Amino acid sequence: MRSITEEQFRSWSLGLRNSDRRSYTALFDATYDALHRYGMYILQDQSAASDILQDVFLKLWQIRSNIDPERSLRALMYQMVRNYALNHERQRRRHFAEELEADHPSVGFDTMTDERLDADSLGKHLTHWIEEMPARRREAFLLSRYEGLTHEEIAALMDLAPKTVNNHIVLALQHLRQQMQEIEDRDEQTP
Amino acid sequence: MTTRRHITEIPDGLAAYIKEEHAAERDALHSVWNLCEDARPDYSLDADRKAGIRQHILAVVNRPADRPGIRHTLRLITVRGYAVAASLALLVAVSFNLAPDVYTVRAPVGSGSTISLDLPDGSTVTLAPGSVVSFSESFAQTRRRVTLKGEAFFDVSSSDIPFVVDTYNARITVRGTRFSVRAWADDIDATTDVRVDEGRVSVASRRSHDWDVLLSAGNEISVAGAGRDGAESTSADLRHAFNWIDGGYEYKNEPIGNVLADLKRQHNVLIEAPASIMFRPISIFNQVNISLEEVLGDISATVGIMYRPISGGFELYEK
Repeated sequence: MRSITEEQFRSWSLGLRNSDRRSYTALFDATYDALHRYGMYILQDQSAASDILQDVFLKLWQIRSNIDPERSLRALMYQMVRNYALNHERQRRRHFAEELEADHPSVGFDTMTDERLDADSLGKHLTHWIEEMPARRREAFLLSRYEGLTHEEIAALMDLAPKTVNNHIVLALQHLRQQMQEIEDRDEQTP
Repeated sequence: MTTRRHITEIPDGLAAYIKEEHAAERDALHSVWNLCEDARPDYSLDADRKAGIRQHILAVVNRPADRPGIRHTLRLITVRGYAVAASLALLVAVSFNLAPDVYTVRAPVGSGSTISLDLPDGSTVTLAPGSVVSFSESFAQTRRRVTLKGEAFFDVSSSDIPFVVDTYNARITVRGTRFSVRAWADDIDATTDVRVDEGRVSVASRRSHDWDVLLSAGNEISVAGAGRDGAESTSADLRHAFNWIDGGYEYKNEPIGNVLADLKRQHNVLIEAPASIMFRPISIFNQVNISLEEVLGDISATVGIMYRPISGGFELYEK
């Protein structure tokens, strides 16, 4: 989604305002995967992420006449996914607290701490440590590192100050570095 | 080593931010940033689901009347609006997502409006927001059967072919009559509620084949999940039972959670409430369409609770 120019988004915005189905279809094809990934960052649930994407695209068509081509459609879509995902998460937590616990048992990672920090296991460790991060820090980090959003875009999306976004990402990197360091230290002590 | 796809350079803003750090710390953070390429999330996308969503949303965009496969079956879809313009008819989702020869019509959530659908046999179905009705392409040729998830009012044209409505736990069979069905399987104390406005209706459990009830005008029945044990047929005052078609409502001894679920489908907003409120029964009605806040005000005044706006919606709470 990073590779799509703002000009292209603007063109789709204008198309949507005119109820142009080709613009709508092209927008879906170009953005679905990235938006689905963002939904997964928040929900960690394939099916739920798909459900909210369907709602987001239906809503987008519903509000098409109010889309302002001068404002970023990319930002609007990320914002819609975020709102729907957080709304979904709130409802799920309230109604299915017990089921949620059963569906997402905390996976023990002890088996991996015995492994040496070689290249093969590094990715798995990093993935696990990222998943362990507080939700908002994880979200800011994933958006920056893997989706290429600028800190200003992340700040606007998450309603944070850009400095806070920087803090989140530095803390995330420091956390990962400390985790790596701990395993390296343990490896050195192991004969 | 995991194959590298692409490494995103550390963003300028972050680089500037950590410039103040000691060189070793700065280099370490750069290094971690680069190593994170090996942890790039690899969520395998469900291609079938994506294709289904694409088909679904394009079915919404493409007006049913423009689609030859639909035109002969869905002669008319209109919005019986009390808060929206007729253009919202475009939002009615028509798709083929059950089987190749099954039509599914879903009333949009959040539009604050019911939709009315004319079936090929001349019968009319009015759907509450979020409700879904499905029927076969061969509907009315050899049988008239629809599946309902949610709430609908049926005005069934007379015919020798029985008209059948299947819900998650009940089967309603008629020949020509007017009646409503409410069947939200995820309601608190979920039941299929059938209310007869005109004519006679046969109601049976889909989970137990040893009983059915013949219901005449002015009567209602609730079929509980397991069937007969919870089924109650009563002569009822149905003056306000169909208020929802025109934007009003009537609830009799209904858990507030179910009322809130309806409101969320109508307005697509968050409405929070603790369990102590969700399970509390309420009896309330209103004949005309009023705003969401007015409904919440009515509920609060009726059972002695409070409500307040929160981010994305409203919250009900104890005084």
